[in-house]
Amino acid sequence: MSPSATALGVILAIVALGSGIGFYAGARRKMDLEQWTVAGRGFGVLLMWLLMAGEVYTTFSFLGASGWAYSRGAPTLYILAYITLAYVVSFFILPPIWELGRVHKLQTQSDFFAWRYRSKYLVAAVSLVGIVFMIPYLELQITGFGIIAEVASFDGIGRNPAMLVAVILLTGFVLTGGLRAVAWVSVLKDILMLIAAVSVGIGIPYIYFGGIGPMFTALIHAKPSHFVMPGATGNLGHAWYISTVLLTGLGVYMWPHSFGAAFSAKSSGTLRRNAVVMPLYTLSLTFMLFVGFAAILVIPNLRDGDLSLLAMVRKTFPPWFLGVIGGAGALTAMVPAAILVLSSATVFAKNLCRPLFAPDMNDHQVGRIARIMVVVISLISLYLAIHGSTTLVSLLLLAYAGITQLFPGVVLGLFWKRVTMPGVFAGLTIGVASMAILFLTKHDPFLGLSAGFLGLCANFTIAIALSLLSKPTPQPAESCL
Amino acid sequence: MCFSVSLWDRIHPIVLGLPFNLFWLTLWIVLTPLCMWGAYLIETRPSHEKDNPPT
Repeated sequence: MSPSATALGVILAIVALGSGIGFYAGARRKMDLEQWTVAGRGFGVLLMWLLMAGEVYTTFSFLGASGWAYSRGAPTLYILAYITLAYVVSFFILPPIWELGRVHKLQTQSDFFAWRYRSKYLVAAVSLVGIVFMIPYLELQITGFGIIAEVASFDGIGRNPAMLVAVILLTGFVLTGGLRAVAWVSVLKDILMLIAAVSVGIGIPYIYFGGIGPMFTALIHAKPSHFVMPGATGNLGHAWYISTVLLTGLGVYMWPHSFGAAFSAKSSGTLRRNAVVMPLYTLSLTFMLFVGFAAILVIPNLRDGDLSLLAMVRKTFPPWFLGVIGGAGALTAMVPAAILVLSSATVFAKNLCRPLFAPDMNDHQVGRIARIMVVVISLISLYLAIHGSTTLVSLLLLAYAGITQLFPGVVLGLFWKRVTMPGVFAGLTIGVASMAILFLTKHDPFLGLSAGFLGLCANFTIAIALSLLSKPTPQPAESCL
Repeated sequence: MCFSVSLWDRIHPIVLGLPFNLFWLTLWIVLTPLCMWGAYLIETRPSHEKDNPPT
Protein backbone atom coordinates (compact mmCIF):
# COMPACT_ATOMS: atom_id res chain seq x y z
CA MET A 1 0.00 0.00 0.00
CA SER A 2 1.32 3.45 -0.77
CA PRO A 3 2.12 5.68 2.22
CA SER A 4 -0.67 8.09 1.38
CA ALA A 5 -3.26 5.29 1.15
CA THR A 6 -2.19 3.96 4.56
CA ALA A 7 -2.33 7.38 6.18
CA LEU A 8 -5.67 8.29 4.62
CA GLY A 9 -7.09 4.86 5.44
CA VAL A 10 -6.29 5.29 9.14
CA ILE A 11 -7.71 8.83 9.17
CA LEU A 12 -10.88 7.64 7.49
CA ALA A 13 -11.25 4.79 9.98
CA ILE A 14 -10.89 7.19 12.91
CA VAL A 15 -13.39 9.66 11.46
CA ALA A 16 -15.81 6.81 10.74
CA LEU A 17 -15.45 5.51 14.29
CA GLY A 18 -16.05 9.00 15.65
CA SER A 19 -19.12 9.55 13.49
CA GLY A 20 -20.37 6.09 14.46
CA ILE A 21 -20.18 6.95 18.14
CA GLY A 22 -21.97 10.21 17.41
CA PHE A 23 -24.77 8.65 15.41
CA TYR A 24 -25.24 5.97 18.06
CA ALA A 25 -25.37 8.45 20.91
CA GLY A 26 -27.83 10.62 19.01
CA ALA A 27 -30.06 7.82 17.77
CA ARG A 28 -30.89 6.43 21.18
CA ARG A 29 -32.94 9.42 22.22
CA LYS A 30 -35.91 11.24 20.88
CA MET A 31 -34.81 14.67 19.72
CA ASP A 32 -36.93 17.59 20.77
CA LEU A 33 -35.47 21.07 20.69
CA GLU A 34 -34.22 20.96 24.28
CA GLN A 35 -32.61 17.58 23.80
CA TRP A 36 -30.98 18.66 20.54
CA THR A 37 -29.55 21.89 21.92
CA VAL A 38 -28.80 21.37 25.62
CA ALA A 39 -29.10 17.57 25.82
CA GLY A 40 -31.85 17.71 28.41
CA ARG A 41 -29.64 19.65 30.89
CA GLY A 42 -28.21 16.46 32.41
CA PHE A 43 -24.44 16.39 31.93
CA GLY A 44 -22.29 15.48 34.92
CA VAL A 45 -18.66 16.40 35.53
CA LEU A 46 -17.28 13.86 33.10
CA LEU A 47 -19.43 14.61 30.06
CA MET A 48 -19.27 18.29 30.84
CA TRP A 49 -15.50 18.18 30.97
CA LEU A 50 -15.44 16.35 27.67
CA LEU A 51 -17.81 18.77 26.04
CA MET A 52 -15.87 21.80 27.22
CA ALA A 53 -12.55 20.29 26.21
CA GLY A 54 -14.21 19.44 22.93
CA GLU A 55 -14.97 23.08 22.43
CA VAL A 56 -11.79 24.71 23.54
CA TYR A 57 -9.26 22.33 22.04
CA THR A 58 -9.86 22.73 18.37
CA THR A 59 -7.82 22.50 15.20
CA PHE A 60 -6.51 25.80 16.33
CA SER A 61 -4.62 24.21 19.22
CA PHE A 62 -3.67 21.27 17.06
CA LEU A 63 -2.29 23.00 13.98
CA GLY A 64 -2.55 26.72 14.63
CA ALA A 65 -0.47 26.81 17.83
CA SER A 66 2.44 24.90 16.33
CA GLY A 67 1.99 26.93 13.15
CA TRP A 68 2.50 30.21 14.95
CA ALA A 69 5.31 28.76 17.05
CA TYR A 70 6.99 28.00 13.75
CA SER A 71 6.29 31.21 11.90
CA ARG A 72 5.94 33.83 14.66
CA GLY A 73 7.79 32.50 17.72
CA ALA A 74 7.32 33.92 21.22
CA PRO A 75 4.00 35.79 20.68
CA THR A 76 2.42 32.32 20.40
CA LEU A 77 2.89 31.98 24.13
CA TYR A 78 -0.24 34.07 24.55
CA ILE A 79 -2.16 30.85 23.89
CA LEU A 80 -0.92 29.21 27.09
CA ALA A 81 -1.95 32.24 29.10
CA TYR A 82 -5.36 32.98 27.62
CA ILE A 83 -6.80 29.50 27.95
CA THR A 84 -5.71 29.33 31.58
CA LEU A 85 -7.20 32.76 32.23
CA ALA A 86 -10.44 31.66 30.57
CA TYR A 87 -11.01 28.95 33.17
CA VAL A 88 -10.43 31.39 35.98
CA VAL A 89 -13.10 33.63 34.42
CA SER A 90 -15.44 30.66 34.00
CA PHE A 91 -15.15 29.81 37.68
CA PHE A 92 -16.79 33.11 38.54
CA ILE A 93 -19.32 33.64 35.78
CA LEU A 94 -20.62 30.21 34.76
CA PRO A 95 -22.20 29.09 38.07
CA PRO A 96 -24.46 32.18 38.32
CA ILE A 97 -25.35 31.80 34.64
CA TRP A 98 -26.25 28.17 35.20
CA GLU A 99 -28.38 29.10 38.18
CA LEU A 100 -30.32 31.65 36.11
CA GLY A 101 -30.69 29.10 33.34
CA ARG A 102 -32.24 26.58 35.68
CA VAL A 103 -34.65 29.03 37.28
CA HIS A 104 -35.76 30.74 34.07
CA LYS A 105 -35.48 27.86 31.59
CA LEU A 106 -32.79 29.51 29.49
CA GLN A 107 -31.17 27.46 26.73
CA THR A 108 -28.91 29.87 24.90
CA GLN A 109 -26.89 32.99 25.44
CA SER A 110 -29.53 35.01 23.62
CA ASP A 111 -32.13 33.71 26.07
CA PHE A 112 -29.99 35.19 28.80
CA PHE A 113 -29.88 38.60 27.11
CA ALA A 114 -33.61 38.44 26.42
CA TRP A 115 -34.34 37.69 30.03
CA ARG A 116 -31.94 40.25 31.49
CA TYR A 117 -32.52 43.22 29.19
CA ARG A 118 -35.99 42.52 27.81
CA SER A 119 -35.34 43.84 24.32
CA LYS A 120 -35.74 41.75 21.23
CA TYR A 121 -33.56 44.17 19.28
CA LEU A 122 -30.65 43.74 21.65
CA VAL A 123 -31.14 39.98 21.45
CA ALA A 124 -31.11 40.17 17.67
CA ALA A 125 -27.89 42.22 17.78
CA VAL A 126 -26.25 39.79 20.20
CA SER A 127 -27.31 36.82 18.11
CA LEU A 128 -26.03 38.45 14.96
CA VAL A 129 -22.64 39.18 16.54
CA GLY A 130 -22.48 35.58 17.72
CA ILE A 131 -23.30 34.11 14.32
CA VAL A 132 -21.08 36.47 12.32
CA PHE A 133 -17.98 35.85 14.44
CA MET A 134 -18.53 32.13 14.66
CA ILE A 135 -18.02 31.97 10.93
CA PRO A 136 -14.25 32.72 10.99
CA TYR A 137 -13.94 30.20 13.83
CA LEU A 138 -15.75 27.62 11.73
CA GLU A 139 -13.69 28.56 8.71
CA LEU A 140 -10.62 27.81 10.83
CA GLN A 141 -11.83 24.27 11.56
CA ILE A 142 -12.66 23.56 7.95
CA THR A 143 -9.29 24.89 6.78
CA GLY A 144 -7.62 22.65 9.38
CA PHE A 145 -9.41 19.63 7.98
CA GLY A 146 -8.24 20.58 4.51
CA ILE A 147 -4.63 20.87 5.70
CA ILE A 148 -4.80 17.43 7.29
CA ALA A 149 -6.06 15.75 4.14
CA GLU A 150 -3.54 17.63 2.06
CA VAL A 151 -0.52 16.55 4.14
CA ALA A 152 -1.73 13.02 4.86
CA SER A 153 -2.32 12.31 1.17
CA PHE A 154 1.23 13.51 0.42
CA ASP A 155 -0.34 16.39 -1.50
CA GLY A 156 -2.43 13.98 -3.59
CA ILE A 157 -5.75 15.43 -2.44
CA GLY A 158 -6.20 19.14 -2.80
CA ARG A 159 -7.25 21.22 0.18
CA ASN A 160 -10.52 22.32 -1.41
CA PRO A 161 -12.05 18.89 -2.17
CA ALA A 162 -11.05 17.79 1.33
CA MET A 163 -12.83 20.76 2.84
CA LEU A 164 -15.95 19.94 0.82
CA VAL A 165 -15.96 16.38 2.18
CA ALA A 166 -15.49 17.74 5.69
CA VAL A 167 -18.50 20.00 5.34
CA ILE A 168 -20.71 17.17 4.06
CA LEU A 169 -19.69 14.90 6.94
CA LEU A 170 -20.16 17.70 9.41
CA THR A 171 -23.68 18.62 8.39
CA GLY A 172 -24.77 14.98 8.33
CA PHE A 173 -23.35 14.51 11.78
CA VAL A 174 -24.98 17.59 13.26
CA LEU A 175 -28.37 17.03 11.66
CA THR A 176 -28.72 13.53 13.07
CA GLY A 177 -27.00 13.75 16.44
CA GLY A 178 -27.32 17.12 18.15
CA LEU A 179 -25.29 18.01 21.22
CA ARG A 180 -25.17 14.60 22.88
CA ALA A 181 -23.53 13.11 19.81
CA VAL A 182 -20.90 15.80 19.92
CA ALA A 183 -20.03 15.23 23.58
CA TRP A 184 -19.47 11.52 23.08
CA VAL A 185 -17.26 11.95 20.05
CA SER A 186 -15.19 14.25 22.24
CA VAL A 187 -14.23 11.21 24.28
CA LEU A 188 -12.45 9.63 21.33
CA LYS A 189 -11.10 12.96 20.19
CA ASP A 190 -9.58 13.87 23.54
CA ILE A 191 -7.93 10.51 24.07
CA LEU A 192 -6.39 10.65 20.60
CA MET A 193 -5.34 14.23 20.97
CA LEU A 194 -3.58 13.60 24.29
CA ILE A 195 -1.75 10.63 22.80
CA ALA A 196 -0.82 12.74 19.80
CA ALA A 197 0.35 15.70 21.87
CA VAL A 198 2.52 13.75 24.26
CA SER A 199 4.02 11.30 21.76
CA VAL A 200 4.75 13.88 19.13
CA GLY A 201 5.69 16.68 21.51
CA ILE A 202 8.23 14.54 23.37
CA GLY A 203 9.16 12.17 20.55
CA ILE A 204 10.17 14.74 17.98
CA PRO A 205 12.60 16.73 20.18
CA TYR A 206 14.22 13.44 21.26
CA ILE A 207 14.56 12.06 17.75
CA TYR A 208 16.15 15.17 16.28
CA PHE A 209 17.94 16.78 19.19
CA GLY A 210 18.23 14.14 21.91
CA GLY A 211 15.81 15.90 24.25
CA ILE A 212 13.76 19.01 24.91
CA GLY A 213 16.60 20.87 26.63
CA PRO A 214 19.11 20.28 23.83
CA MET A 215 16.47 21.29 21.30
CA PHE A 216 15.97 24.68 22.90
CA THR A 217 19.71 25.15 23.33
CA ALA A 218 20.14 24.58 19.60
CA LEU A 219 17.18 26.81 18.74
CA ILE A 220 18.26 29.65 21.00
CA HIS A 221 21.71 29.45 19.50
CA ALA A 222 20.36 29.56 15.95
CA LYS A 223 17.58 32.11 16.36
CA PRO A 224 17.67 33.92 19.71
CA SER A 225 15.24 36.66 18.68
CA HIS A 226 12.52 34.10 17.86
CA PHE A 227 12.12 33.26 21.56
CA VAL A 228 11.33 36.61 23.08
CA MET A 229 8.48 38.84 22.02
CA PRO A 230 7.93 40.16 19.42
CA GLY A 231 9.57 37.05 17.95
CA ALA A 232 9.53 36.90 14.19
CA THR A 233 6.90 39.65 14.01
CA GLY A 234 7.59 43.36 14.08
CA ASN A 235 4.59 44.51 16.02
CA LEU A 236 3.45 41.83 18.48
CA GLY A 237 5.22 43.01 21.62
CA HIS A 238 4.33 43.02 25.29
CA ALA A 239 1.42 45.42 25.01
CA TRP A 240 -0.05 43.22 22.30
CA TYR A 241 0.48 40.17 24.45
CA ILE A 242 -1.28 41.63 27.49
CA SER A 243 -4.20 43.04 25.53
CA THR A 244 -4.64 39.85 23.54
CA VAL A 245 -4.54 37.57 26.57
CA LEU A 246 -7.18 39.70 28.26
CA LEU A 247 -9.32 39.95 25.15
CA THR A 248 -9.30 36.26 24.32
CA GLY A 249 -9.33 35.03 27.92
CA LEU A 250 -12.47 37.04 28.65
CA GLY A 251 -13.96 35.97 25.34
CA VAL A 252 -13.76 32.18 25.61
CA TYR A 253 -17.04 31.85 27.47
CA MET A 254 -18.77 34.49 25.38
CA TRP A 255 -19.10 32.07 22.49
CA PRO A 256 -22.76 31.18 22.23
CA HIS A 257 -21.79 27.51 22.39
CA SER A 258 -19.46 27.76 25.41
CA PHE A 259 -21.97 29.93 27.19
CA GLY A 260 -24.73 27.50 26.22
CA ALA A 261 -22.66 24.54 27.40
CA ALA A 262 -22.99 25.89 30.92
CA PHE A 263 -26.71 25.17 30.72
CA SER A 264 -26.04 21.49 30.04
CA ALA A 265 -24.36 20.95 33.41
CA LYS A 266 -26.13 19.09 36.18
CA SER A 267 -25.23 21.57 38.89
CA SER A 268 -23.24 24.74 39.42
CA GLY A 269 -20.75 22.71 41.46
CA THR A 270 -20.01 20.69 38.31
CA LEU A 271 -19.01 23.90 36.57
CA ARG A 272 -16.79 25.03 39.44
CA ARG A 273 -14.99 21.70 39.66
CA ASN A 274 -14.55 21.81 35.90
CA ALA A 275 -12.93 25.21 36.11
CA VAL A 276 -10.49 23.86 38.69
CA VAL A 277 -9.25 20.90 36.64
CA MET A 278 -9.49 22.22 33.10
CA PRO A 279 -6.32 24.37 33.10
CA LEU A 280 -4.23 21.20 33.33
CA TYR A 281 -5.40 20.24 29.89
CA THR A 282 -3.56 23.29 28.56
CA LEU A 283 -0.30 21.46 29.19
CA SER A 284 -0.94 19.49 26.02
CA LEU A 285 -0.55 22.76 24.12
CA THR A 286 2.97 23.17 25.42
CA PHE A 287 3.82 19.95 23.60
CA MET A 288 2.27 21.23 20.41
CA LEU A 289 4.50 24.29 20.66
CA PHE A 290 7.57 22.03 20.96
CA VAL A 291 6.77 20.51 17.59
CA GLY A 292 6.39 23.89 15.94
CA PHE A 293 9.71 25.02 17.40
CA ALA A 294 11.46 21.81 16.34
CA ALA A 295 10.24 22.31 12.79
CA ILE A 296 12.15 25.62 12.62
CA LEU A 297 15.45 23.77 12.42
CA VAL A 298 14.29 20.49 10.85
CA ILE A 299 12.16 21.78 8.00
CA PRO A 300 12.87 25.47 7.45
CA ASN A 301 11.20 27.30 4.55
CA LEU A 302 7.73 25.76 4.80
CA ARG A 303 5.38 27.86 2.71
CA ASP A 304 2.71 27.78 5.41
CA GLY A 305 3.51 27.55 9.13
CA ASP A 306 0.20 25.81 9.81
CA LEU A 307 1.55 22.77 7.98
CA SER A 308 4.48 22.43 10.39
CA LEU A 309 3.06 19.89 12.86
CA LEU A 310 1.82 17.44 10.26
CA ALA A 311 4.82 17.91 8.00
CA MET A 312 7.06 17.06 10.97
CA VAL A 313 5.00 13.97 11.75
CA ARG A 314 5.09 12.91 8.12
CA LYS A 315 8.84 13.34 7.96
CA THR A 316 9.50 11.53 11.23
CA PHE A 317 7.03 8.69 11.67
CA PRO A 318 5.64 5.84 9.54
CA PRO A 319 2.49 6.57 7.48
CA TRP A 320 0.10 4.72 9.80
CA PHE A 321 1.15 7.00 12.63
CA LEU A 322 0.64 10.03 10.42
CA GLY A 323 -2.84 8.55 9.98
CA VAL A 324 -3.43 8.41 13.73
CA ILE A 325 -2.28 11.99 14.23
CA GLY A 326 -4.24 13.10 11.18
CA GLY A 327 -7.32 11.29 12.48
CA ALA A 328 -6.97 12.97 15.86
CA GLY A 329 -6.61 16.26 14.02
CA ALA A 330 -9.64 15.56 11.87
CA LEU A 331 -11.75 14.94 14.95
CA THR A 332 -10.42 18.07 16.65
CA ALA A 333 -11.71 19.91 13.60
CA MET A 334 -15.03 18.05 13.34
CA VAL A 335 -16.15 18.19 16.98
CA PRO A 336 -15.81 21.94 17.50
CA ALA A 337 -17.09 22.62 14.00
CA ALA A 338 -20.18 20.57 14.78
CA ILE A 339 -20.72 22.51 17.99
CA LEU A 340 -20.23 25.83 16.21
CA VAL A 341 -22.67 25.00 13.44
CA LEU A 342 -25.20 23.59 15.83
CA SER A 343 -25.26 26.59 18.10
CA SER A 344 -25.10 29.28 15.45
CA ALA A 345 -27.99 27.64 13.58
CA THR A 346 -30.04 27.34 16.77
CA VAL A 347 -29.36 30.95 17.69
CA PHE A 348 -30.37 32.09 14.22
CA ALA A 349 -33.66 30.23 14.26
CA LYS A 350 -34.63 30.75 17.86
CA ASN A 351 -33.29 34.18 18.75
CA LEU A 352 -32.99 36.08 15.51
CA CYS A 353 -35.63 34.74 13.16
CA ARG A 354 -38.50 33.89 15.52
CA PRO A 355 -38.68 37.05 17.64
CA LEU A 356 -38.20 39.46 14.73
CA PHE A 357 -40.13 37.87 11.89
CA ALA A 358 -42.48 35.15 13.07
CA PRO A 359 -43.28 35.33 16.78
CA ASP A 360 -45.91 32.58 16.55
CA MET A 361 -43.59 29.84 15.29
CA ASN A 362 -43.67 26.66 17.34
CA ASP A 363 -40.62 24.68 18.48
CA HIS A 364 -40.99 22.22 15.67
CA GLN A 365 -40.75 24.94 13.02
CA VAL A 366 -37.81 26.54 14.83
CA GLY A 367 -36.08 23.18 14.73
CA ARG A 368 -36.65 22.93 11.00
CA ILE A 369 -35.20 26.39 10.32
CA ALA A 370 -32.23 25.55 12.54
CA ARG A 371 -31.55 22.45 10.46
CA ILE A 372 -31.70 24.46 7.23
CA MET A 373 -29.32 27.01 8.73
CA VAL A 374 -26.87 24.21 9.60
CA VAL A 375 -26.43 23.68 5.87
CA VAL A 376 -26.36 27.38 4.99
CA ILE A 377 -23.78 28.34 7.63
CA SER A 378 -21.55 25.40 6.72
CA LEU A 379 -21.58 26.43 3.08
CA ILE A 380 -20.75 30.06 3.85
CA SER A 381 -17.76 28.96 5.95
CA LEU A 382 -16.65 26.58 3.22
CA TYR A 383 -16.79 29.39 0.71
CA LEU A 384 -14.68 31.63 2.96
CA ALA A 385 -12.23 28.82 3.71
CA ILE A 386 -11.66 28.26 0.00
CA HIS A 387 -11.06 31.94 -0.68
CA GLY A 388 -9.27 32.88 2.55
CA SER A 389 -5.52 32.86 2.90
CA THR A 390 -4.69 33.90 6.44
CA THR A 391 -3.12 31.83 9.24
CA LEU A 392 -5.27 29.80 11.63
CA VAL A 393 -4.29 31.98 14.59
CA SER A 394 -5.22 35.18 12.75
CA LEU A 395 -8.68 33.75 12.04
CA LEU A 396 -9.11 32.98 15.71
CA LEU A 397 -7.96 36.43 16.77
CA LEU A 398 -10.48 38.03 14.43
CA ALA A 399 -13.23 35.82 15.82
CA TYR A 400 -12.32 36.74 19.40
CA ALA A 401 -12.07 40.45 18.68
CA GLY A 402 -15.74 40.26 17.75
CA ILE A 403 -17.17 37.83 20.24
CA THR A 404 -15.58 39.38 23.34
CA GLN A 405 -17.69 42.48 22.70
CA LEU A 406 -20.52 40.52 24.37
CA PHE A 407 -18.57 40.38 27.63
CA PRO A 408 -19.71 43.72 29.09
CA GLY A 409 -23.36 42.82 28.53
CA VAL A 410 -22.95 39.49 30.29
CA VAL A 411 -20.81 40.56 33.22
CA LEU A 412 -22.60 43.83 33.93
CA GLY A 413 -25.89 42.00 33.52
CA LEU A 414 -24.87 39.41 36.09
CA PHE A 415 -23.24 41.57 38.71
CA TRP A 416 -24.46 45.15 38.35
CA LYS A 417 -28.13 45.94 38.95
CA ARG A 418 -27.86 49.43 37.52
CA VAL A 419 -26.89 48.44 33.95
CA THR A 420 -29.48 49.31 31.32
CA MET A 421 -30.37 48.02 27.89
CA PRO A 422 -29.45 51.22 25.95
CA GLY A 423 -26.03 51.25 27.60
CA VAL A 424 -25.25 47.67 26.66
CA PHE A 425 -26.66 48.08 23.16
CA ALA A 426 -24.61 51.22 22.45
CA GLY A 427 -21.48 49.70 23.97
CA LEU A 428 -21.83 46.59 21.84
CA THR A 429 -22.40 48.59 18.67
CA ILE A 430 -19.44 50.90 19.25
CA GLY A 431 -17.21 48.02 20.32
CA VAL A 432 -17.93 45.94 17.23
CA ALA A 433 -17.79 48.96 14.93
CA SER A 434 -14.44 50.22 16.23
CA MET A 435 -12.86 46.76 16.11
CA ALA A 436 -14.23 46.20 12.60
CA ILE A 437 -12.86 49.53 11.37
CA LEU A 438 -9.41 48.78 12.78
CA PHE A 439 -9.41 45.31 11.21
CA LEU A 440 -10.69 46.44 7.83
CA THR A 441 -8.18 49.28 7.61
CA LYS A 442 -5.46 46.81 8.65
CA HIS A 443 -4.69 48.63 11.89
CA ASP A 444 -4.49 45.53 14.05
CA PRO A 445 -2.51 45.81 16.27
CA PHE A 446 -3.17 49.53 16.81
CA LEU A 447 -0.63 51.47 18.94
CA GLY A 448 0.74 48.10 19.98
CA LEU A 449 -2.58 46.94 21.42
CA SER A 450 -4.89 44.38 19.87
CA ALA A 451 -7.77 46.03 18.02
CA GLY A 452 -10.39 43.87 19.72
CA PHE A 453 -9.12 44.98 23.11
CA LEU A 454 -9.49 48.66 22.18
CA GLY A 455 -13.02 47.89 21.03
CA LEU A 456 -13.69 46.20 24.35
CA CYS A 457 -12.46 49.23 26.30
CA ALA A 458 -14.71 51.55 24.30
CA ASN A 459 -17.54 49.09 24.78
CA PHE A 460 -17.19 48.98 28.57
CA THR A 461 -16.81 52.73 28.92
CA ILE A 462 -19.92 53.48 26.89
CA ALA A 463 -22.00 50.74 28.50
CA ILE A 464 -21.22 52.03 32.00
CA ALA A 465 -21.53 55.73 31.15
CA LEU A 466 -24.84 55.38 29.33
CA SER A 467 -26.25 53.09 32.01
CA LEU A 468 -25.53 55.73 34.61
CA LEU A 469 -27.10 58.44 32.45
CA SER A 470 -30.23 56.53 31.46
CA LYS A 471 -33.21 55.88 33.69
CA PRO A 472 -32.81 52.75 35.84
CA THR A 473 -35.07 49.91 34.76
CA PRO A 474 -36.90 48.01 37.49
CA GLN A 475 -35.49 44.50 37.79
CA PRO A 476 -37.04 41.38 39.23
CA ALA A 477 -35.59 40.81 42.69
CA GLU A 478 -33.63 37.70 41.73
CA SER A 479 -32.01 39.20 38.65
CA CYS A 480 -28.65 39.72 40.27
CA LEU A 481 -27.09 36.95 42.25
CA MET B 1 0.32 40.25 37.30
CA CYS B 2 -0.28 40.85 33.64
CA PHE B 3 2.03 43.85 33.58
CA SER B 4 4.97 41.72 34.63
CA VAL B 5 5.46 40.44 31.09
CA SER B 6 8.68 42.33 30.51
CA LEU B 7 10.14 40.73 33.64
CA TRP B 8 9.64 37.13 32.51
CA ASP B 9 9.73 37.44 28.74
CA ARG B 10 13.36 36.33 28.46
CA ILE B 11 15.35 33.31 27.46
CA HIS B 12 17.73 33.02 30.43
CA PRO B 13 17.85 31.44 32.92
CA ILE B 14 16.93 28.24 31.13
CA VAL B 15 14.88 26.12 33.53
CA LEU B 16 14.31 22.40 32.88
CA GLY B 17 15.58 22.97 29.37
CA LEU B 18 12.89 25.54 28.57
CA PRO B 19 13.44 29.21 27.81
CA PHE B 20 12.38 31.15 30.86
CA ASN B 21 9.17 32.60 29.36
CA LEU B 22 7.92 29.18 28.31
CA PHE B 23 8.83 27.72 31.68
CA TRP B 24 7.08 30.56 33.50
CA LEU B 25 3.81 30.10 31.64
CA THR B 26 3.91 26.33 32.00
CA LEU B 27 4.50 26.77 35.71
CA TRP B 28 1.37 28.92 35.95
CA ILE B 29 -0.67 26.33 34.09
CA VAL B 30 0.14 23.97 36.95
CA LEU B 31 -0.26 26.55 39.72
CA THR B 32 -3.62 27.87 38.48
CA PRO B 33 -5.60 24.70 39.32
CA LEU B 34 -4.08 24.79 42.81
CA CYS B 35 -5.21 28.38 43.32
CA MET B 36 -8.61 27.56 41.87
CA TRP B 37 -8.93 24.62 44.16
CA GLY B 38 -8.32 26.95 47.07
CA ALA B 39 -11.01 29.28 45.74
CA TYR B 40 -13.34 26.31 45.35
CA LEU B 41 -12.83 25.27 48.98
CA ILE B 42 -13.56 28.81 50.14
CA GLU B 43 -16.69 29.10 47.98
CA THR B 44 -18.16 25.79 49.12
CA ARG B 45 -17.58 26.28 52.85
CA PRO B 46 -20.68 25.37 54.87
CA SER B 47 -21.41 29.03 55.65
CA HIS B 48 -21.85 29.68 51.92
CA GLU B 49 -24.51 27.03 51.39
CA LYS B 50 -26.19 26.70 48.03
CA ASP B 51 -28.94 29.30 48.46
CA ASN B 52 -26.40 32.05 48.76
CA PRO B 53 -23.63 31.63 46.21
CA PRO B 54 -21.08 34.40 46.65
CA THR B 55 -20.46 36.58 43.65
